[in-house]
Amino acid sequence: MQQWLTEIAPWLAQNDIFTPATLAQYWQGLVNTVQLVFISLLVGVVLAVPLAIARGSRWPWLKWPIWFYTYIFRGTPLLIQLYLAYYGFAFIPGIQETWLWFFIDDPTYPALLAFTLNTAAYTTEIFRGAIKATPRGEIEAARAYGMSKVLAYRRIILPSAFRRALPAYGNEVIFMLHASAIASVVTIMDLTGAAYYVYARFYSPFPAFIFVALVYMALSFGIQGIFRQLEKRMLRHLRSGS
Amino acid sequence: MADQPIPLVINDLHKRFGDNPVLKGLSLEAHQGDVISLIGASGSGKSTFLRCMNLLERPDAGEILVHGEQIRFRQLRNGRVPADWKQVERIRAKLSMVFQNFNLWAHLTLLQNVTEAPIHVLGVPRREARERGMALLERVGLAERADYFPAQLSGGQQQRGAIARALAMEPEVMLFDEPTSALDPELVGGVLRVMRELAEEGRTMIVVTHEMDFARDVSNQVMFLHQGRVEEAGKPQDVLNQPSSERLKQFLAPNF
Amino acid sequence: MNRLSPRLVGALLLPMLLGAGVSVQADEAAADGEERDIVRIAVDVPYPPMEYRTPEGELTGFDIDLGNALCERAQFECTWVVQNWDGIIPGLMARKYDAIMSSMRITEARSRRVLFTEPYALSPKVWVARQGRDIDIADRAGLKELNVGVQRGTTQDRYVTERYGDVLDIRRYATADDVAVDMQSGRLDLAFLNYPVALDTLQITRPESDFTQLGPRINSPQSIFGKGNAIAVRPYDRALAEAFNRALDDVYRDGTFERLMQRYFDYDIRPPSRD
Repeated sequence: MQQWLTEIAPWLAQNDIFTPATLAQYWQGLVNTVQLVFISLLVGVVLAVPLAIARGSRWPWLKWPIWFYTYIFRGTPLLIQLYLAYYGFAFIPGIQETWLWFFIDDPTYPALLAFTLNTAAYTTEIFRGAIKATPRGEIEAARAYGMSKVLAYRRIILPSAFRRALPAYGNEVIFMLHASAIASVVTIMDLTGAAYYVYARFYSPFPAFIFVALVYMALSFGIQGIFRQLEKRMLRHLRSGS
Repeated sequence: MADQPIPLVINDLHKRFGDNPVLKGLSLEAHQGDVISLIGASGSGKSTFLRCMNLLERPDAGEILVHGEQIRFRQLRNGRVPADWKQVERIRAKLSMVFQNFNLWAHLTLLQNVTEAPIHVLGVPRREARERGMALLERVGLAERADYFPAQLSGGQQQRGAIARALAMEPEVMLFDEPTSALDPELVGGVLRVMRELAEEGRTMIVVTHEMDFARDVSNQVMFLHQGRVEEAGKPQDVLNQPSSERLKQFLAPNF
Repeated sequence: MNRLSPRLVGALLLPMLLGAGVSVQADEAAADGEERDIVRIAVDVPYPPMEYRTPEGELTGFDIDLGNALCERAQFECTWVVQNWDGIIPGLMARKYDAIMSSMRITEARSRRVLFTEPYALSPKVWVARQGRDIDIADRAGLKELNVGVQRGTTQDRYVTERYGDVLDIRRYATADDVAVDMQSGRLDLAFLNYPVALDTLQITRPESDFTQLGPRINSPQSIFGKGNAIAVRPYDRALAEAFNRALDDVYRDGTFERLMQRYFDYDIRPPSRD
């Protein structure tokens, strides 16, 4: 980073906006955005796997609450969820005195909560669809060869479903990256927050936001590339012929 | 030989789908090396009977004994369920099934399909499972296709692979559910040849089939099912060549 | 700063108002028996208390009253034209009116397109803290570990960033209302707000309020807060701008400005240049 900055220093001297200070601001924004999105996605996937399995359960008291949860989180805007997580909890009487306040006081945790629950809801439905699409015969074969339900899920149903879910999940990852731009409304200095900052500092919306748009675009293409490679490798078995 | 437990005994099996009884008291005894062909028109209950043997369908009444061990059931208000799923899984591992539609696991290569259950159900070491798997693929003539995925294989190749998968479990009894019905006519021969070889080496097999030549030449017992009952059973040359019941005569008519 | 304005302006009311204004002014002109220049002034309503309509539909507010006072001094026959904020500068250039008096803040970008008079108003900013918190803004070392809420992109944001960026944890919100809400939630130790906003949302002057003003109201330095609101005219209408400036000097000197200010505000909105 440091060396790179001295490299482009002469060019930076030519303009008012992209100074080392503002680039450092953007860099911090990038780090915050990537952290926020990555942690949300990671926890979201971990939650979504058991939820997707339980969502297909025969027991109504297990199935319907999960259906309700995904319905609510997919049916309302993420911005509203973020506001509720950030402002809603803060106004529970007496919460300032509890240990929970440590998490609520900092904008990062409410944002992580909202993002995680949101992506977990979408991912649950993506996985649910993929699990449901597992050919019945393959499950039957697994049971016929003495696999327990757990083993059949672990070895046959989930690996097959994850592969099928890959393209839809890749879209969800990019969607989350773009959706994370709203984190700045609860004062998180993410990429968009950095762009607002630079915009406010220099009153020049175009360079500030075009630059940040390019950064988002580069991230999106990167993610797309990773998923394309993954699909190439993981979905080989779906291409017939040799 | 006499002291050896019988690989598979079925006593008075009943099964209904809703109000519709499909199996009305079927019994069967498969001794070591028996090849039993189940024949009958569609809807006669032959496939359901086969699928009851490894509990893919749950019989409402009757006994199943595998290698002398009886499957235990528990009576619930709405029917009978296995008392111990662990026992069911252990017994299923002794009864390998070959399906009409192959049902190979699509995300695994052919070799992985063959080694999957031995490694994860039987606990065979990975290396050993792979070596045995390769040997089995060699046997069914698919050694060079070991790393192919099912979608990249023809139907006949897939079914031969499925047979290798069944053999890898070293089963007490092999259950074949119309193994050639989904194949193009030119691919049927290869699969039947493999099955004939298995019969010749003394495997215990129960085969639901429409292939009358196979039933006549390979099996030592034929059971003709009609509406959930055994209409006629016995040695293939008796049953198939001198059918006594009118229904079997009708069923066999196109073959004469 | 920019401000929100309703998209639909009462265009139907406009001819009526113009008619009324002209007739009144014409009567006065006739009484004085002298020729008066006609000056049309654009304003965007509502933006109380600077400019808005009475329930009867009449234009009123601090800008309107001050504008009329200035016109009287300058011997102009003034009429008000209601104009949407988005098109207010283009309208000036298209000669739909001759001046803009609508709480327009002097900025560098606008200065390139229009000619501004001297500023006549600048709303102050203020530090707010919870009642009973012992915080001294002047004691920089004591501000460490504290956070402050500002509306991002505003001059308040710039002020705390430049002056206190090294000691305070600055949290930037999309709206000033969000800042006020997080003062109430207890997340924020401090807020730095536009004074009228602090009055309105956190009610800092009410004795029963949980929040209170820290230190004096702030409206300088000019490099951050700007010069204030001014009247805008076309760049070549130098004479018109000069006439307004002279009139402004007059209303400041004779107490008219202070009288009008007290009618609408209970705090000082004079720009630093007039102190």
